Amino acid sequence: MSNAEIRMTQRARTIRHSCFVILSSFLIPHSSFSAAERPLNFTNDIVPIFTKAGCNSGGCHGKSGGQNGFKLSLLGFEPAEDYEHIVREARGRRVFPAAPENSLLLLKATGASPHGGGKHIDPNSDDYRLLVRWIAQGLPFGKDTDPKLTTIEVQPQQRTMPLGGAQQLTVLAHFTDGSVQDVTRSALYEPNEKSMAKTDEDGRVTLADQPGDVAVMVRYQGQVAVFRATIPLGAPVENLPAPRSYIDELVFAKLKAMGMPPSGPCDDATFLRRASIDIAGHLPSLDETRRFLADPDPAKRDRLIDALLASPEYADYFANKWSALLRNKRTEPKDARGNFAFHAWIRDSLLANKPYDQLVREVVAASGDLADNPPVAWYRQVKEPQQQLEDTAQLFLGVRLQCAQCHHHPFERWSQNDYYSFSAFFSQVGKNAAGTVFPRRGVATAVNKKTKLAVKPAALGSGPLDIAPDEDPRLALAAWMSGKDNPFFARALVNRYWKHFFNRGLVEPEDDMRDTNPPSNPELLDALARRFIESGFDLKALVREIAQSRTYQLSALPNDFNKTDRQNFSRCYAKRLSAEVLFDAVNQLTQTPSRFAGLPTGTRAIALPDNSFNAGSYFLTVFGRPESSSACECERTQEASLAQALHLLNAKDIQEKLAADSGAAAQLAADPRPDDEKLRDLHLLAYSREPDASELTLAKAHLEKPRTAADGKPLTPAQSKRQGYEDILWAMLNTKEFLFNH
Amino acid sequence: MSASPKSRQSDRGARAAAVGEAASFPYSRARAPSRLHAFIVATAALLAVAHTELPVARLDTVFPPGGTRGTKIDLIATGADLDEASALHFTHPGIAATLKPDKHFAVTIAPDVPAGIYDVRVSGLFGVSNPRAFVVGELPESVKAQPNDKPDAAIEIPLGSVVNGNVNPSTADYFKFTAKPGQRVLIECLAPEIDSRLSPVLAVLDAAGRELATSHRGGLLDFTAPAEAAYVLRLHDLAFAGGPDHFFRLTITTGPHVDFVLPSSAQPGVKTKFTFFGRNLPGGTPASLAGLDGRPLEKLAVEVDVPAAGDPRTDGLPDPASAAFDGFSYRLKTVQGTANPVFVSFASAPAIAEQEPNNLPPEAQKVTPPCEISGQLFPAADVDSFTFDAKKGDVFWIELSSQRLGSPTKPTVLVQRDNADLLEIISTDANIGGIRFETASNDPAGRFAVPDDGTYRLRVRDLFGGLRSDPRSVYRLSIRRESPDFRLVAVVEPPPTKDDDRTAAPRSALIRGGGTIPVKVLAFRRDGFAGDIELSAEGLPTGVTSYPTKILSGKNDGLVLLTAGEAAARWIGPIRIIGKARVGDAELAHEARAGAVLWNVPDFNNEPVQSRLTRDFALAVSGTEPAPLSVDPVEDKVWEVAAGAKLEIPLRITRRGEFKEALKLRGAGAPGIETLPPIDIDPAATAFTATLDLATVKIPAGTHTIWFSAQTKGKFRGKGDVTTVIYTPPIRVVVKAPETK
Repeated sequence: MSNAEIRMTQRARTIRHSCFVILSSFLIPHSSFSAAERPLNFTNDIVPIFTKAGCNSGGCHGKSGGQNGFKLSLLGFEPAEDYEHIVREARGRRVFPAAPENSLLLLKATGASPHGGGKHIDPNSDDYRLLVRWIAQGLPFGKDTDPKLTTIEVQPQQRTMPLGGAQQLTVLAHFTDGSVQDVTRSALYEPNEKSMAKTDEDGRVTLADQPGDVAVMVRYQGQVAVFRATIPLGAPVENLPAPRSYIDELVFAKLKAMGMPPSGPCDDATFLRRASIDIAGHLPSLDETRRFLADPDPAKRDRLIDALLASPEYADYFANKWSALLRNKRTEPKDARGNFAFHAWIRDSLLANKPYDQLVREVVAASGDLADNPPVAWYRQVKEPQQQLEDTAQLFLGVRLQCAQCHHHPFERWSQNDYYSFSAFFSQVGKNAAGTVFPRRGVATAVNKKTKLAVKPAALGSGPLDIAPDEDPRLALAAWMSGKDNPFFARALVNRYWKHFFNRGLVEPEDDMRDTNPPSNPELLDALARRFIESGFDLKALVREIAQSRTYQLSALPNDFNKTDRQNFSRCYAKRLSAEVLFDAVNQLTQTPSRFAGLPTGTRAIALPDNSFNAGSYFLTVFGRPESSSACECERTQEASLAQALHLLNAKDIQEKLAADSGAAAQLAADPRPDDEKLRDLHLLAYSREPDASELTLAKAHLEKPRTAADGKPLTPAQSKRQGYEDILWAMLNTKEFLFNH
Repeated sequence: MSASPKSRQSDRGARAAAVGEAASFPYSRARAPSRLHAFIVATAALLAVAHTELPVARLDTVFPPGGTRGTKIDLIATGADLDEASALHFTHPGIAATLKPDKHFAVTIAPDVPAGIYDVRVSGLFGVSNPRAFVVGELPESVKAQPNDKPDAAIEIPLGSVVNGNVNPSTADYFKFTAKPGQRVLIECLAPEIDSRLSPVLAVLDAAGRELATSHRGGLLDFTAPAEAAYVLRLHDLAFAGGPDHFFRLTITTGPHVDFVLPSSAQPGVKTKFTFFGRNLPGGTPASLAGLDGRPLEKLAVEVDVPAAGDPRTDGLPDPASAAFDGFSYRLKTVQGTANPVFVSFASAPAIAEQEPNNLPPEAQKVTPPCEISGQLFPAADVDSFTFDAKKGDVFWIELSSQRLGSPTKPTVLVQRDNADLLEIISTDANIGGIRFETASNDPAGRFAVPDDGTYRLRVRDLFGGLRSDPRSVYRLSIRRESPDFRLVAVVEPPPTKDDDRTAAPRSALIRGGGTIPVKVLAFRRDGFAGDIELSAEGLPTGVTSYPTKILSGKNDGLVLLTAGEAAARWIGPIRIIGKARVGDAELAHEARAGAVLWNVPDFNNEPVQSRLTRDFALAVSGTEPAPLSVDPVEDKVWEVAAGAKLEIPLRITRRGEFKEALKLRGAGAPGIETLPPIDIDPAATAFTATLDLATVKIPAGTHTIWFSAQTKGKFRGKGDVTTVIYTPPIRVVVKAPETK
């Protein structure tokens, strides 16, 4: 079946499904009486109009200071305040019940009166008429006994749809009195993958021609719901490799459902290079490559994974990742010893494979002074309870709570009360000038900035806790996080590590896990998390399982069907080497050791203790090494840029490495072995594979070219050979094959 | 416990990383500011260490920093102002040195010198220096003599030996040793404990370079060899700093190491049974607990003759905050050699051992105050509960000693009755020594006035111990009747060279002929003691005088002034500073401990000041150099004045060097005298009469010792401009109360 045929069949299926939804929508019990019949309620009927029209968005009147003297609460989360501002503020000049159409509110919103934001409401619309009626009714706020919104529901919630298909969504609001109201017209829609789906303001979803999963977030008055579309390709999926574990079973099951055949397995050379980079952050050495390629043992890939996990470089590489996320930042020279100590602590913990829950507990609940207990350094950068809770939530739970400090989280269920209750876990953190951290005795509470009321500590989605004044509330938080039923902790970590190996999280971005941003393979995420918990939060075991999977060992070369796949892991998604790995790889290839100020010559960039070395290395900066300023992986930039390309092509430090007297080119030129052999070595080092015949021919021809010096005189054969090798090294380190892990 | 104070302090603010050129700026233009910056930093550093005070010998290193007893070693001293350095002074008479060329000394260590850490000072033209630690050991020693900054250049060291060396900047040192399977090898790197600036990081590597064991905190690495093999030992500074001041003594041994001892206190002069917990303890049994490094500990019970008095000249607690403890250092001797020292403090009563389980209130252990309890906050989140009966009106002081004894703790004590909290006793972080001699500690002490007859409960916990299971977290809990007392520490500080002086530097006491120097004395007041403490100096050589001065009521520091006659002969030796105070009918007297800053610090905002208690207090009388400027009362007598009257004190000004500035004298030593306006003395004046108008300067009736001081600048032989603060000798004044009618 061709792609076109697949699409036609799918389209037919969609039409049938749409008819079903339209029919069924007639059967849904609507509210007991409509807005036309009952007295209007400001919260339920009027505020959604402002939200839909964008009046109370963060860019307009919803920003904290309002806009041009008129302020609305962000996305209408505080109706009482909005009522005050519309009806009473400025002596009521914004509304005119005697002649509702002449209300300033409406004149501005319709653009009849000059309005910086332009026209947002059509005078012929239902919304306009509703506003007029509300003003005419005498601006009722509503009664305490009026029904309140409890949840919203989107119909359908999930569908398998064809490429290019479309779906009308219906959004139902449920109220405390059991009534239900269709709010499709008032709700807001947003797809998580804009390249895969578009939505219009009436809730119609239109798909692009890209197979995969897409979720549409539906928002209405602080409530969220999600519609998920699965868009299979529908190609036959046959001859799958035998699954190595549940990982492959779940990935392959998804590929079958998607009708997307995976690429074939990668060869040994590719696997060696890929695993060495992903697990230990370095290119395999020449010896390692030769030995691995020659090894006939069918279990050699597993053995390699184990050897990499046992190597100090594994600890270096992952300590480099965690050190940035744990904000081991050097802000002043006098921080240096603490930076070294914290980095060493992270590294030693990873080397010893300290269970992840213990590692996190020792950071979040760290007490002591820096010399005796280095993880207290986390509190040096993450100073205030707000930062502490936000970093904890984002880094360890995959939840971004920042928004909920000032208002109800727009995409999430988290309220300001949730935010401050979570911050109460950090309310007893005591510090002194020397950076010592300890728990102060007392009852942990935090004040909700909005309500001014004290709240007890409460974990996300859990009730308030009574923590005795003698107990460190952070320990209660740590205990909750590492509980085997915790819905966030293990999932956040496995998703983070999955992304490390696959260049894409099951949830993307990896630290923004929410109902409205569902995983591309929820069964796999659950299984990984379950397994991680069962293993006792064993990080090396997780890495081992991932790296051993057939999925991880798929080739990066696409087949006829999976070229556009970005989320089903039907092939390896190539990624640019990170700044540190690339820096080390260039040094390894050019045989020139690093020189970082104050560190031993040859110190690898993956082993740097903190961000302070970025300032002295344009290479690391331009390739996006993070400054350890946030708990977000996004601080590391993996994008390609012109500056990067120019740096590798002609920067002084790269040229110096190529031309170094003790460097690879000089060594190769002086090496008496035949060029064939030396070129083989170079390819093995750079790409972990042998060169093919054409590469050899091309390279040898280049070496044999006559060369002249700047003054036009011919170079000696030795000089010429050395220049030739410099050119070849230069060309190799500029190839995509070198620059990418694939 | 013998943890160094510096291991605790080293990260309070860290040292600036080595200034080096940026590694890989792509464009040469980017380099210019970097070079300029480096130049500015380097210049600023030079200025900061330029001579601005009258020179006094400063000792930076002695190398090697120790030797085997019964041997002779060659030792070199380095430092500043070591002109004509000619002698070394050890705190044990069995260690003696003779001068060789170029500040080398031949040091003979008598066979009967006990293993221990001693102090050594060097003396020369500019007096006697600050001390450096010098270790006497039992094992054969060597000195690192060749580069070993790569694994293949590792230096072989036999088990049961010591290597002395220093690490260089940006490098790691490699050693190798051979061990048998199952052999428990203890690798101990002494560095902060012996005044080094090195924070050692140790790792044992296998042949493939894999790390088998690492230690980032403290210098002990406990490694059991998995197989008979050669192992590589890597040593470097935590931040890869290095240089001559990053010296170390690396011991590799199968001998004993003591982690801690229980009880933590004992009565002086009373034979006491102790249990030592540690590693490689011959005759020991498994202790069923692990150290913080996860390695199993053994225990060994030993009866010890507790001495009647401690000897401060060997080992001891170095932390300035520990100065208030009386006690003794003890090294366990075994057939496998002598262990590291542990400190046992002196208590007034036998220690009651804490009995677990006592975490929960109903399990509280009954005690009868006044009493001493020896306990351990272990494992993680341990709470120790004690209960006692008390009568209304009883006043107790409850003091918990743990961090000051070397434990990694921050303990608190909660006093409860019927589950109601009455008093939470936490550390006050009180620092009486300023930033140059920080005495703040984590240990709590508080007064408990019993409100009613009844049963009370104490709950002891460690605020650092929520997650950490460190068996070294031992403590001593005193519940005593209020007994005001004090302890003293004498510190010599260089005079400030400007108002906002953020430098710190080692300094020792040198009096030049005709001069007067101050010695700062800090008072650790106990149980609310608030009275005056009278200070005096004993053991002074002929020609040096001092009159008693006071640490005034409510203050925590005072000065002792030592004056040398113009003809005072050269002299170097230890002196004693004594404090006396009256509490009720009793007179208390204590000899001051001594303390010193260890290293030059250009700006203490950027780098922590490291200081420690020293093992003696040394004084030097120049004998050859006169004080460049002195101001003395014309008569050495007791000056009497009636309250409200004027006292005129004729002063003589003697300018012997190129110190030609006008002087602004300020008074001190008696309450109220600080309100006296500065007294201006003309540059040309040789005599002046200071007037104390007691109508305006309200000095209370009684006997006082006052003095005047002034900061001044001048030129000094070969050392350029110097700034100093000159002091008058102490002036005894009796203010007579007005007659009552």
